[in-house]
Amino acid sequence: MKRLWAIAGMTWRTAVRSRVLLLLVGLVTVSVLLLPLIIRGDGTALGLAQLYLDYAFGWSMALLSAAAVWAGAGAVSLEIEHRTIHMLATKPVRSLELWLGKWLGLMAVNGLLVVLAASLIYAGLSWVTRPGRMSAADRATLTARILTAHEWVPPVAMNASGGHVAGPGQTLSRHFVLSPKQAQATVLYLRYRFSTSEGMRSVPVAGTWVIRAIDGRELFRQRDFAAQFMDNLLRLPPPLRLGRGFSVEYTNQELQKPLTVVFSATDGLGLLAQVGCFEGNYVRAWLLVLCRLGFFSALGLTAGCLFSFPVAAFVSFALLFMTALCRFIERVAARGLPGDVGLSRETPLFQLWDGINRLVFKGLNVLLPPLPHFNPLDYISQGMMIDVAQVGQAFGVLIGGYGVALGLLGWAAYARRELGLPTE
Amino acid sequence: MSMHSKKRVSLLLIAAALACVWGASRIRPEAESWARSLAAQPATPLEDAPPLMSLTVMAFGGFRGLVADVLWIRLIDLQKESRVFEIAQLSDWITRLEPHFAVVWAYHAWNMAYNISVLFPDPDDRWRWVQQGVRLLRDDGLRYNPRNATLYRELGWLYQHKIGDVMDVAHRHYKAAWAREMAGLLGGAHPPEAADPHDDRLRRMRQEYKLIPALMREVDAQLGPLDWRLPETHAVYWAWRGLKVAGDDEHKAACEQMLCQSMADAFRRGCLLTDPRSDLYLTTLKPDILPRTIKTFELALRNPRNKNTAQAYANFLTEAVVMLYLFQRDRAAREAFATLQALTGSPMTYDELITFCLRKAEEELPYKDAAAVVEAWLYRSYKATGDGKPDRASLCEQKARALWDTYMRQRPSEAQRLLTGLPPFPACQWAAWQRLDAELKGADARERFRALCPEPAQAHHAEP
Repeated sequence: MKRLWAIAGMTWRTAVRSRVLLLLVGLVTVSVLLLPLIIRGDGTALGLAQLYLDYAFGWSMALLSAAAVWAGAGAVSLEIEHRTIHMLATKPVRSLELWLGKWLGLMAVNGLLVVLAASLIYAGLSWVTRPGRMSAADRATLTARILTAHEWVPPVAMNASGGHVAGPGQTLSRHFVLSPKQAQATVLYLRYRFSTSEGMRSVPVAGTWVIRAIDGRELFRQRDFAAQFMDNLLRLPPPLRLGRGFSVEYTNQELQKPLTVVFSATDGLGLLAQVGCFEGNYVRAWLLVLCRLGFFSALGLTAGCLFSFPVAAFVSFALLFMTALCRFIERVAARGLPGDVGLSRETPLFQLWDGINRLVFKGLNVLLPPLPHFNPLDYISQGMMIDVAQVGQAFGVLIGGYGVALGLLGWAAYARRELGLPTE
Repeated sequence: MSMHSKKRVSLLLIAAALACVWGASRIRPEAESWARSLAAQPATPLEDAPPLMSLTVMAFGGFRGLVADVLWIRLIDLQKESRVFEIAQLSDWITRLEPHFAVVWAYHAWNMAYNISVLFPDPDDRWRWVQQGVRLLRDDGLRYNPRNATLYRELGWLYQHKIGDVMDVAHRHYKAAWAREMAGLLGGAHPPEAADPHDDRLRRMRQEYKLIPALMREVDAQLGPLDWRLPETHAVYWAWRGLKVAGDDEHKAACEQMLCQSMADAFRRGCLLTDPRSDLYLTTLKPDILPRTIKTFELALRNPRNKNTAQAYANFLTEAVVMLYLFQRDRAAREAFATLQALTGSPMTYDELITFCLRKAEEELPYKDAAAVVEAWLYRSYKATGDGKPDRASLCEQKARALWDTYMRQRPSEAQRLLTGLPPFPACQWAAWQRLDAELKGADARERFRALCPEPAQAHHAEP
């Protein structure tokens, strides 16, 4: 254990002294500070804050990921190249201890960078949303919509007439059951998304929302105008005592020019319940980032055990790039390559081409980690909750699963690596 | 490798790099000429661009297109998911990566004003996105392409069609918001005459709205006076500016057509009536503008690219003849009819044309003229009252009411009424009364008229 910490400490010191780290700190700082000056929101204070959070978080995440891969790739391979590894190799240190020590050292650096980036972005966000720049009403909306932690509550059952469709004058009903925590929520939104039988309709659609208790008592009623294709939010008044079970009814009021409303089957109708605060969610988002960085460091480190620095860096960045295309890979694995390849779909040649592609992409899909599932950006700028279980899952998959596998590969590669070869 | 060999290799590499730079400089003019022939945009330095933008354009070099493509794909994906808070930013970046590509500016401005705006149910949100589209073209697109007539025309189109026409259920909101904004800026309906160039209003006009007071006065002198609170007037202004930079007949034709359409609109609804006692926003016929509109059409017809404008001109003249007849401006109507006959050579007489058009209007009133037709019958009614002919006045009012009722019955839904509905009947009455009251010469005549026919009640609102 002592040896492990000694190696980690050495890696930390090397990284802290490195100009690359200094450059990275500078880049993150400058970009986070400059962003509010160069971004152009949608004209609302809310949009600007959302955009700042999205861009600052996303940009920092991209920089830190690239840095993690770069530092990982150089941690072993550069020591071999500069022959400083001989200082370690001649001591009673096992290959696994070396890999793990290096990884822990890199993770300490990652942790430092994450704390720095998180603090800077939080400070930047506070500056963007400061009272002088944003009205009290905008700040209240921002706190209720974005700087919060909402949980998505889907309906549990449909009424007998079923479906997701409400014809003119028809009523669609959904039953909801809230968890005790959700039932305590002070901010509750009804979120719905629909399309209409009038495809390109730009006129808002009239409807009435009614919430009923289990005994049929009417708790809430509101006539609402909403746009198709958009996430429409209807804030429910705070004193509403919904209890844990209730039903939500939508009545299509478009009678003069009959129109059918079709709710999206997956996320067409649900509730957003505020179950946590932004700060807690923000910390969990950065923990997800740290798990991702752990994977990238392991990837770079193992590549560095296998190859020389330039090759290791190239291979790691290629894999990093592929992880960025995870969603595309998933899609091709499921549906084949999109677009026209100049062949008719029925020809045997096309079938062969499509078959090979699918096989390759399925293989890639199996091999690559499910990073899109642990992307905090999908949650944080939408005000959606990242729960502890999700962070635990990310840790289990990215560090416990992929990290350990990469560690074993790196251990084996380093154990077989010839360290004393002459270079000239 | 020995130190000596290392040095030799380094020197060789430096020499190779220098040779490449020299070679690139030799083929650059030819490469740029190929790029121009393929309508691609070489990374030329931008005039009047902020340092960050010049740096971006030069740094990405030939890869600008690729980066713009990636951003564009993201924009499409986000738009599909209706996550629009990032769209303005992406549009801004894409256009800055291709600053000389007019189509890119036009597309993104149009996308925000037309596609994104209608995703929102709230008129204020919609108006914000329409303004984003206008600003993208006006503040940035024209800044980097000050000699591109297409962009002036595209900007004019946003004023003429998106704000000025009835394509959007929130169009009344846009019009009222723009009128308020302009009234606040100009301090009235016309450009201020302030001589002090440091006057804050003049500074805001130039810097914020890119309105050049001297040019506004020039437009007014040539085509007006126009009401600068109306979107049609701004369409005229930008088409006028486009015409000044248009290099060939094709670009000139596009601006000339916009001028003709906007001047025709200014004739139809160039008179804005607002009432501080209510939120009334009502536009009615501006007959005085007809000679200038006719002149605009005739100038446009001199351009061989404007062949189809002749038909539009004939249609407009027909409409003008009927409107002037209805507002009892017989002389002006007959003059317009003479112009129409000279243009088309039609054997139809003046009376035949009037009878035909009025019968057609009774069957179905076109939305562009509906308010003016109703107002005209009410105008006739008040005039008859003033002339002491109550029976005739009553008949004219009944006619106006019947036309109003029939027209609104054909638009039963709220959406239809928001789009092309008429102002409330009392508002039409008020507009007609105001017109007649303003036309009367002398205080005595006005007093007599007011005694016989008091100002209609203030039961009017902008929304039908």
